[in-house]
Amino acid sequence: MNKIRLLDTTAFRLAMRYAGFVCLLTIVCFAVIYWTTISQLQTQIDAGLRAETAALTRLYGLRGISGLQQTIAALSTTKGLAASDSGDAGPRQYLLTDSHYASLAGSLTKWPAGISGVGMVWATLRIRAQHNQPGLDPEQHHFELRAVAVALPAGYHLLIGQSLDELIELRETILTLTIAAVLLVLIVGTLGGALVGRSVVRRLQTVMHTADTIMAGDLTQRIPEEYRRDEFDALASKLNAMLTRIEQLMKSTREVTENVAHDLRSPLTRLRGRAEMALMKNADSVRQREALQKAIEETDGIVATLNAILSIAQIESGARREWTAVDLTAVCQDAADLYEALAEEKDIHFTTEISEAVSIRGNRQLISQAIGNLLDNAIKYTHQGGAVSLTLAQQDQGAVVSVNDNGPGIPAELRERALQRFVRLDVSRSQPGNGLGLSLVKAVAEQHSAVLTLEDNQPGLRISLSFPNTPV
Amino acid sequence: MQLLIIEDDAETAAYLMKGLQESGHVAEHAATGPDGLQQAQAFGYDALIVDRMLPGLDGLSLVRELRRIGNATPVLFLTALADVDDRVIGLQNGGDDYLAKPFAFAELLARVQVIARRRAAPAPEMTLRVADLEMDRLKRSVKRADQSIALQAREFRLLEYLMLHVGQVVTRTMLLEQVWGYHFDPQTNVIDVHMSRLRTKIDKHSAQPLIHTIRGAGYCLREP
Repeated sequence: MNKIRLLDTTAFRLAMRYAGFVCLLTIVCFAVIYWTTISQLQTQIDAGLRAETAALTRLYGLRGISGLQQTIAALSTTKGLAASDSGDAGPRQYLLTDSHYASLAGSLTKWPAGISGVGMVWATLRIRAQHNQPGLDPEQHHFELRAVAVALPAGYHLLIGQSLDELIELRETILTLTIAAVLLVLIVGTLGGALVGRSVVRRLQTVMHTADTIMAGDLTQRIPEEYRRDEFDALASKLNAMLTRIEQLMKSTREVTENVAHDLRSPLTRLRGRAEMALMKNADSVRQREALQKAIEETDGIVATLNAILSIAQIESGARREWTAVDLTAVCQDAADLYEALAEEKDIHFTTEISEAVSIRGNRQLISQAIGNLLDNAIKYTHQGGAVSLTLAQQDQGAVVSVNDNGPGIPAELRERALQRFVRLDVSRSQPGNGLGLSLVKAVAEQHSAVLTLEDNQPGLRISLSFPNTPV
Repeated sequence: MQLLIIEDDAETAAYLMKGLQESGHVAEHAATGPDGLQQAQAFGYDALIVDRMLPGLDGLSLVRELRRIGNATPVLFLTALADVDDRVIGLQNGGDDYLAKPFAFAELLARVQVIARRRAAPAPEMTLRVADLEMDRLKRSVKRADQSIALQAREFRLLEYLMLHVGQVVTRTMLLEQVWGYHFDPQTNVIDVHMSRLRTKIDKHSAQPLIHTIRGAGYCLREP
């Protein structure tokens, strides 16, 4: 049995492809969120710094360098002046220097290199942390600072910085979240793919298992259906229907072969016997002629039986489904017309009750032959002076043809057997026939989806062919 | 009649040749499709007996080719394929009749005679006459020695078929096909019963019977 590897299943591959796509989408989403958030935050920080700078510059204008010096010294231990305005709560760093960049006040000790004191200069600084600096995490060796430097009148320089710790933290959070989301998608996708793949594999494996059993020779196996009305059930029911059809055909082929082998043996033996009799030394020419005549008759019988077997096999295989509209009324009238003479000769009271204008879809030859066989049987097995009737009625469910007689009938327990090939209930074989008449009727009925019923006619037999209603 | 048998099985061909010669016909034999086609074109036969399966050129193609070049010689197909569909295909491809193997020689002879004469015969009259039996096909009335005979519709068609083929042997299968339109074996010989009923009506009051049973073959309606 072919094993399907889970990782090779279409379902799993599709799931993986889909998970990959979702990962990509997640990364793009987080990137967009990252860039917008970070730039928003930076704008906010800059706005806060600008406001603070403006406030301190104004203070310098009002209260001079000493006032500013005092304020900055105070600010260096608390929050920024304009912090409440900007809504920004990050710790700020300050440095006020004279024209030679010597510190006058502030939490930073040294003017950072590379920032000139002309006008207003923006920079992002990386500064080594000092343990005694307030507002900074002493554990950190470095911290990043967004800083703005302004030159105040009279040569003083002021630097205000905002720590970027929060920004960095946010950046890290977003990165962690992105990785987590991607991992989650990958895990869920893989698991889902595996689950779906496994269920698909499981259902396909029941199909393959059935196929294996059938290939091993057991044609009665069918694929279990789960009644979920999904595509697998649809497939299973189609395959099962196909299997049933194949089984039927195989069975019919086997039966034909078996029957040919079995039932032609005795007529062939008789044929051989006749030929030998014709060859016997003491046979005169009259007896020779007679034996040869019988041999020809025997041959004709064999051919007729063969034709009947092949004809039934052909009907069962559906090879003769050249359907046309069949005027059932005319078919019944023709059959009655043909067999009425036969009944009359045997002194059987033959009556018909045929409804007008009844039509079905089917094969006229086959239906004629089936009705002919039924009439032939009825007349054959009804005693002299009996009664046989042929009726055709259009009922709600469809057209019903029945042949009724008051002959010996068939006991209920033997009715099923009577339809089998080569079965002749008349053990004495007092009537000619090959035991194929009713099998042919059954095959024709099945091909036309008609129901063949054998009933007690009290006394006698009533055989009905109930055709389904079909658009003609 | 001059007949050509196109059949690759030597034994079947020999059996047919012998039978046809004994019945007073001249028969020739071709064993392959191309030979058969050439011979059929070269001589004016009254009818061809063509096997469906032949070496070189199959029977269907042979007859199609003959018809294409305007040769209208009547053709009886012989075949081991006894399918109704095959029969229809044979007739569609220019065959005039169809007989499945194995067959009774009488059946073959009767069919060959019917198709051979069909081409030669003038359009059938509206009034058919055989001795003192007269049929008016328009009025659908039948008289024997000026005595009107009442026939049922099917009996009328049966008699009509016999009168159209007067002097020819018609088999039970031919009657079943032509008069009833049935292409199957009805098991019991219902045709005999119908013939005996028709006979009673036609020949009962006459000293000279017209309808004759041909043993091992079928029936024949002929002048006394």
